[in-house]
Amino acid sequence: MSSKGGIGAKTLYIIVGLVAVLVIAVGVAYYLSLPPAGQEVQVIKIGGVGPLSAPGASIQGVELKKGIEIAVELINQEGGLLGKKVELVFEDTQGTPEKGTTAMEKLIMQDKVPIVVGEYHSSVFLAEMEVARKYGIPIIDASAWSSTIRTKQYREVFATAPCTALNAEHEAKFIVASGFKNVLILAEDTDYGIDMARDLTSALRRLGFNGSVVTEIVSRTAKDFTPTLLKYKNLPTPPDIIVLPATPPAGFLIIKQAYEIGLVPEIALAYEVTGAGDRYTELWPAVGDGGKYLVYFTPYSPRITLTSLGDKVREIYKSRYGAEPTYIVFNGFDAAWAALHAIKKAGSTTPSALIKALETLDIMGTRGVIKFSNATSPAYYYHQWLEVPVLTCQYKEVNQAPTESDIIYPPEFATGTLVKP
Amino acid sequence: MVIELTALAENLIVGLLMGSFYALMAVGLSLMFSVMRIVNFAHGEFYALGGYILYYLTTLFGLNNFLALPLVMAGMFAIGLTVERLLLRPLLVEALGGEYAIITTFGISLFIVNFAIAFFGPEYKTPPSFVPIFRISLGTLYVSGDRVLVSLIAAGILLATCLIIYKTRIGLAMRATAQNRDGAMLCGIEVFKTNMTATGLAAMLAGAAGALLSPIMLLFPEAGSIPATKSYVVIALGGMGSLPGAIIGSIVLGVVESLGTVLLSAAYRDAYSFLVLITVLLLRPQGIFGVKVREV
Repeated sequence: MSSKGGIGAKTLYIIVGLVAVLVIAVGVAYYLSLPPAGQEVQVIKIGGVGPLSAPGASIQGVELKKGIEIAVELINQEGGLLGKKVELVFEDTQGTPEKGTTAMEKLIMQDKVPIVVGEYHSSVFLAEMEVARKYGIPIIDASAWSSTIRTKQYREVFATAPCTALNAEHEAKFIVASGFKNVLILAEDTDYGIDMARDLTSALRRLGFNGSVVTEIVSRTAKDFTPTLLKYKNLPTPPDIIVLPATPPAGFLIIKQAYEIGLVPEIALAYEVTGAGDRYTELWPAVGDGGKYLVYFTPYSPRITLTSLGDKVREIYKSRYGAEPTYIVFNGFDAAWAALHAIKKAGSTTPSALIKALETLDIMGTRGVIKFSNATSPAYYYHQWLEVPVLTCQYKEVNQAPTESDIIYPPEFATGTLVKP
Repeated sequence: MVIELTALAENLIVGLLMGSFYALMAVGLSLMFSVMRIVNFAHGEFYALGGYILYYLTTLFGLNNFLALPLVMAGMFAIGLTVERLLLRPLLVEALGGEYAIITTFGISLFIVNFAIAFFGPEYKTPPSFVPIFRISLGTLYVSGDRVLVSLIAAGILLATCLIIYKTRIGLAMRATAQNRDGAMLCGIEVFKTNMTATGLAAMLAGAAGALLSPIMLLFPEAGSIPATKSYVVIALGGMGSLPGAIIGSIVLGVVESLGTVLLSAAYRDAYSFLVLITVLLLRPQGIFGVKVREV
């Protein structure tokens, strides 16, 4: 029955018919695209995950992907793996755990990848590693830094990226070696800030540091930090170093305001947010003169001595993209390089064989020999590349570029020494 | 913990300076509420927009901040007029009620934030300072000189706003509309024109706050959300629609936050303002300068 102005029965049949034809056509096209039965797939797929669009940190995600792509390209130039070419299937996780979970399900179930590398956001990696664990697929954390990722001690999870606890260990060594006695940690009120303050305090204690360590938690969304800074400036014994695990804009505002009230550079200021200190195009306009003598931590400096492989990656990146690679490019490369060599070492793409291969892997990366620790104490050592460099650098001039700032710690990479004005 | 007198004095000054910035935001919000009975949820985004206009005037066109500031204010005034004419007036003409206004201003807020992300970028920007950073030292007491200067400009703008409201015909029209909208219409006041001016002034004040503060507090698409939240606290604290209440409320808020941080903990800085608000509302629900209204 058709009502006036409604769809007639004939039109309805035509629509249903067209939809049926379309569904059949799509089905046939998909069937034809499948490899013939018995014919083995001539590529080895590896999975990549990372944020390529908002609300994720897309700039970092794109850099990560470029690093992974260079690794796949180099391995294919060497003839591929197990006689086959390697293909990267990269999924955009948009910085959200839900997208990360979906991406992992797709990579494992649909693309049948035997191993996954990547990610930038810790919250997303924490969701992704649950999927990896469910299917027993190894996953290598390229640039997510939460220590929780390591302390869960999943056999499938490996990390070439440093974690916050490992950074804290490095920073504690720098503080002790530099002779500081009174440490103030101004930490933002997030998991990152609070965990970092806790990890740094315990790392200092483990090193036998007997000075004072005070933690003050500040609101990440606040805009005026002068009352907090004045509190410590007016103490009878003010701190001799402030460590600042506070992401921008709060971190940048604290540096600027500490200078405005005369707290720095008289008191040393170490910007903990690893990697944010060398975002100098944002840093300098925001902090102005307050950035002179600023100490910052980074996994990479253009002044670091890379391995020959690292130099090669750097040159490829520079010639292709016309810019100096950031640490994220190297993080992406090293994670993928480890995954590819695990396949080579295992001589198979069976996930359990890959996990065994990763546990005993010993290959040259861009910044040193990549080996995963099997130690379970401290918990964050498990499946972590312990020797991944974490550098302490210092700006000694206003508007100085990271390429010109000195590496002041550890001694094996140092190009200068700490300057206290 | 014993707090030295110097620390207390320094924090008191810091609180007063912050109070002057809050006042610039809160007065505009209060003005719009009193005249139009609309809570503007896009007020924080007007703040950010003011900052962006200053940023591009100074960086793209090389204008001095002192020259750019009046242009920012004029631009924001025009934006305020447009918003009232195109988006808010139809609601009032159709007598659609406050909930529609809330949705509309919320929509404007989302639009401006996403527009800023798309066109200005999500990263932090720092407009050049009004004056280079300098410190004023009074013995052992240090105060940031550029903040003092900027807060003096903020005080000047507030004074000029008060003069407009209390000493001009349009100010009289705004006060009359705030008091009794129907009565004002019967007296021949063009209420829609008054609404338009009030929205323009509110946007102008928020834009001025953004222009003055963004060189100090950095600029990013969501930069206005915290100042706006503080403004809502301030107008509830001072009394909805009361301009003296907004100014006094801002100063109280600035000082309480500053002293709370140093006497208690920095972690709960944002909570102090709400604690004060709850206390005031329990003792005097209409706010410090608000008046009890009985409707029959």
